Amino acid sequence: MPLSEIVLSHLQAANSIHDNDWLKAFEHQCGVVAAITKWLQLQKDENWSLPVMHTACVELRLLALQAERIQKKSHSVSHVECLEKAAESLMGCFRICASDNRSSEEMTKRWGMLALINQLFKVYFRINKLNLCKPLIRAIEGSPFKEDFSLSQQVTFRYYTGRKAMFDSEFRQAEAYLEYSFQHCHVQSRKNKRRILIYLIPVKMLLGYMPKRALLEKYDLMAFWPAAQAIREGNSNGLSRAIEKNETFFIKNGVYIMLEKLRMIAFRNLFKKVYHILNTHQIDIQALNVALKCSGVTDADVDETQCLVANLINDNKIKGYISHQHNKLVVSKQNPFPALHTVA
Amino acid sequence: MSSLGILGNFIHGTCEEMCPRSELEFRQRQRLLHPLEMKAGTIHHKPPLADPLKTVKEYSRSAAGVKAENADQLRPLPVLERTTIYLIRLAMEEQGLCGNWSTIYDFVTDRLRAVRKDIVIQGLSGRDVLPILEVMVLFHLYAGYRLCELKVSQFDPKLNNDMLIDCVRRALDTYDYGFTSRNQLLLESIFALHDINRTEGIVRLLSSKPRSKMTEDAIQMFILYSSNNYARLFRSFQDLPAPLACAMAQHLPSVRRNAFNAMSVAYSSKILKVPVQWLSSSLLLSCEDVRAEAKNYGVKQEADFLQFSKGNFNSDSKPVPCTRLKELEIESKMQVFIKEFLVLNFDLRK
Repeated sequence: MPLSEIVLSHLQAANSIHDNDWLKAFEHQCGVVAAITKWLQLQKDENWSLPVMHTACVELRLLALQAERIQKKSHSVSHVECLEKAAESLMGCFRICASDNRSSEEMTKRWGMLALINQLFKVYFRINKLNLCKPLIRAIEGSPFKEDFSLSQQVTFRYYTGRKAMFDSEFRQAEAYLEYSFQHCHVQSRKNKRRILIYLIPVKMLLGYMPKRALLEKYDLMAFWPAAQAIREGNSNGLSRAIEKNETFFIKNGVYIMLEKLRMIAFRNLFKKVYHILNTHQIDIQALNVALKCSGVTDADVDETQCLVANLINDNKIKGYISHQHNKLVVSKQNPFPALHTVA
Repeated sequence: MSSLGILGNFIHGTCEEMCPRSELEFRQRQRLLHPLEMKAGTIHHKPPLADPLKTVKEYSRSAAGVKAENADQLRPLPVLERTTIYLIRLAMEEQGLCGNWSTIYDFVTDRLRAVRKDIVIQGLSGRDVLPILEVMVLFHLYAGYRLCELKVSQFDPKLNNDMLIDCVRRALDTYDYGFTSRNQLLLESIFALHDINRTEGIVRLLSSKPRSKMTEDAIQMFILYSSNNYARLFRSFQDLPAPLACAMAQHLPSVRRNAFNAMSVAYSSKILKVPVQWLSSSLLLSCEDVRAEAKNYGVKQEADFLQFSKGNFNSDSKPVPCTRLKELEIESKMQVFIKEFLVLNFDLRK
């Protein structure tokens, strides 16, 4: 009987936790989830046990994390891939829920899908296997219940899909998802709102929206302020210093590469300044090169300057063309540096 | 490395030779020796004789129903080290039958695979296996570069990559369990660049401490690649240490493709032209190769110039196959690197 197996394994897990044997606790919890999976399969046209499944799965993930932490410290020779194993167990439950097509809308286990997907996201992001998220995202996008899951689950879902879109350089999508997540996140969940902002802010910067100082102060994200200023001014050296100053924070939260990508925005802003200073639509590449050197790229040669300009033109951030033989950037007389949010 | 719940009762190998005696005699009898394993002058004998100093245990896929290996067929760690050193030296020094190095590659790859299998079966792990895994990574990296111009029937880059990644992952797992090696930063850097289109490697690399010149070079390369800064990428490529150059070399064709794509838009003009010579030095290609790639991507050419046009770039085109950059002498630099690696990481007196 799965029910007695569930209770037994749960008690064993609780006991192991009491003894501080985290690896054993995790193994027992795997037993709990396995038994719950069997139990779910036996339930036809009922879904009242979904909250039980959810709790067990959350605890499985948390125990996996703890067991991994302990193993790392103890340098054990034989190592158990707890997070990987947890993901497998979670997928087991997920398959049961996702394939419950025969039941009525009220009683279907498909309502458990989003909560499980969010747990799986948390594991995949931790073990850095973002590519495994894709089929899960597709499963939800194709579900008729998409809009009807609980708000908290949707906020979490959008947070992770937003982060994934950011990694995949789909910045418009990322903005939409993270914006949704931020707006709908409960006003008192400050920690969560801050976590969302850590990704929303760089995405917004890439789309041309610099954060207000007040916002950064409110959520204790002043780490972004020097970077935001440097990008607005077109100051490459300033950006490098800003990144270096809070390097650990940026790396830990996975936005380091994103900030480097924002360097292109800084260059766009810099070149726009040169355009305004020279007040001509035929800009000497040499002038842009000098500007680059002043902004900190001291060893930039003309070739690299042309390369940066070429990429900006290709990304629609500059309207114009390069004449290699004249070493000039010829920009459109109409709106040569379009607003960033119109061209992302 | 071990599955859930198993305490780790592994067999300890006792075979003191690179090849177990029973296998050597069997293969000699059945004429299944590789030419590189034969005693000099006996190739035309019936059967050719095995040279015990050159015969190495073959890789055989584990299959259901096949008897598990006995202790006398498994090689303990010191023998595995000796075997690895022998194989790597062979790869670095031999030119192959009729100058065809891919024959050496096939032999060494198979025998190294057998070494890995012995490691897994015996549950060997920790600091002691690291040099073996690390030098295997370097070998596959070197081979991937040296043989990149061959047809798939002669050399399968995907298979080579699979083995490379297998070795890298085993090494990375070992580091994650807390075993350090002086080469950890090297391998993390190689992983980040090899798998440049995924975030796993770079995330690991950014978190590794302390930073070294090697990791800074790798991070810089990654950033240049992500931002399509082809100008600086090719400039910096020439100064990369040999292993990183090998890891990066496979990505150069797509860097060039992205360059041609960006240029097709940015230099788009009905009258203006771009000299082939300039592209040759910017993209580290011969003028001839510039023309070939331009053709592949649909870019118009006129004498010594290319004429870019937005509409011409063929978005369905694939990057051209990898080629070696002979002037940079990456191969010989990598050979030197690997030979030095052997000296620094193994006790060669054994």
